[in-house]
Amino acid sequence: MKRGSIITPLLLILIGVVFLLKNIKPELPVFQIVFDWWPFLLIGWGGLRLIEILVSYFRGSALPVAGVSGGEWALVVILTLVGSSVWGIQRFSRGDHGWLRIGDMEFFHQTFDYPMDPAAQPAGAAPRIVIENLRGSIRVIGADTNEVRLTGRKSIRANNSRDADAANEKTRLEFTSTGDIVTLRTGQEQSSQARIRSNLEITVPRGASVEARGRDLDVDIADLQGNVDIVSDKAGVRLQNIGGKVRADLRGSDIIRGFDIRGDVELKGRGRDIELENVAGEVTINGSYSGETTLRRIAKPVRFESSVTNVRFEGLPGEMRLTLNRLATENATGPVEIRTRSKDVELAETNGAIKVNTTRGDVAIRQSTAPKSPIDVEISSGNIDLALPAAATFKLNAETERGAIVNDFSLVFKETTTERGSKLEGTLGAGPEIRLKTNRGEVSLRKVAPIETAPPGKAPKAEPKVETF
Amino acid sequence: MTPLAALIRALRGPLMLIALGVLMVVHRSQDVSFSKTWPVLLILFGLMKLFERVAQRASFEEQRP
Repeated sequence: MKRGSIITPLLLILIGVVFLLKNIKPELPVFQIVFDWWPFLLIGWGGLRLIEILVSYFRGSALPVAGVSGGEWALVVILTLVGSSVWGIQRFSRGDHGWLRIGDMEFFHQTFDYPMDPAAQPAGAAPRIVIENLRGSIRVIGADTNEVRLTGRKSIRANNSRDADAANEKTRLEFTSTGDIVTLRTGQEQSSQARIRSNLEITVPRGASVEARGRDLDVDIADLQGNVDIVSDKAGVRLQNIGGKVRADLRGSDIIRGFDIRGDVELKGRGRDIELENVAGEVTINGSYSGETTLRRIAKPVRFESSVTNVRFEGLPGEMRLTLNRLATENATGPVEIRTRSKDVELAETNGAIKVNTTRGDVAIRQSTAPKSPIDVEISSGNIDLALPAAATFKLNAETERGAIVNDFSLVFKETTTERGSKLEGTLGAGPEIRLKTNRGEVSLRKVAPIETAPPGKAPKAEPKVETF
Repeated sequence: MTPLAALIRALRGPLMLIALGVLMVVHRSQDVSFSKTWPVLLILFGLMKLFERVAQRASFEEQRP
């Protein structure tokens, strides 16, 4: 007797379980899980079939002509098409308006727009403004006024206008003021059915402080004297002309941009790009950022800490650019301390002591004025290139365990070759101590090309000139 | 049809299915688009066909002398 495959009953059971779970526990994102994991269904299906065929082969029973029948292939094709198109759409509209709620089988959504009635609440000169908005955007502008004025728009994605109206009714805006504290809640959590985004435009007294909380927020704040505090999962943050401290705790920011901030800046979390310019306070960045971090004109100490990189400056009149595999600074104020893994480090025109410690990557240091503070570079694997002005005087201690040393600077330094490496030591006049050490790589000591001098205090807009090394 | 050739032929479907699943997983998690990797399925199909022929041929030649 020819037995049928075990797949068909298993598939039926699986489908039954999925729908049963959906009915018993509607809050479980069962369909979402299925759509997230369906390729493994294909693999499991194929694997089971494979085992079945091998078993019947070794038992000597009759083999099916085709391992997977035509009907099954049709099912696979349908599954693949549906699965991949759902992904495609999800990927295109990650978290944005076009979200598809697979959980409720709402594939065809429409967006319904609800303008908010303009509202205003009295406030003192320096109120605290607390905004809770799960999804959407917040735009806050400081002005010479004694009230908090709000306009905005709510967009609701739903199957039909009836559902959208119901969701709109449920999510009433809460806007209250005690004078010192102004609270604004969009109440999106009241409606779990529809996807709502509230876009708020708020005008506040110039002295206000803002606290914004959400899950997927675009925050845009300008012209405030107070502090700014943002907590959100996903976020894009743009700040301009802020008088107080800025604190942002974001778990997935695509960009954090800040210009003209007079207080300290403290960023925490994960994200992509960071751009800060003209900050009068300290800058502390703690977390992992996969894009580019650009800092310009920071008056007070800068600290950047991630799991692999640790950077400190006493100040940054120039510019720093940090990506996953490169750190370049121009015109930083020392002591500069850099500890990192697998990154090329390029320091140009540093003012003060330099200490670099990397495991893999090249280090290039260029100074067009004679160094007055010590330089200390230590690399496990990578080249060191140091360019100093011809008039510089210093005490040198350069060493490579495997590699060569190129000395284009002065013959005062004596080179001794070790087993596979080389050492270069000596004292040229009175000056700071320079220690260069790599376990594996080349060390070169050069005179800086005189045309390379950049006017001090001016940050270049283009890529730092250290590129031309 | 020799038993080995029949086995290879029967295994073709399940293996293709597994390969499709793997490509879909890669498409999702590794950002290697399925629109780039689909020829793998074609190659796999061709290889299975080839093996089937080889298995068939080999057994004919065994029987001949």
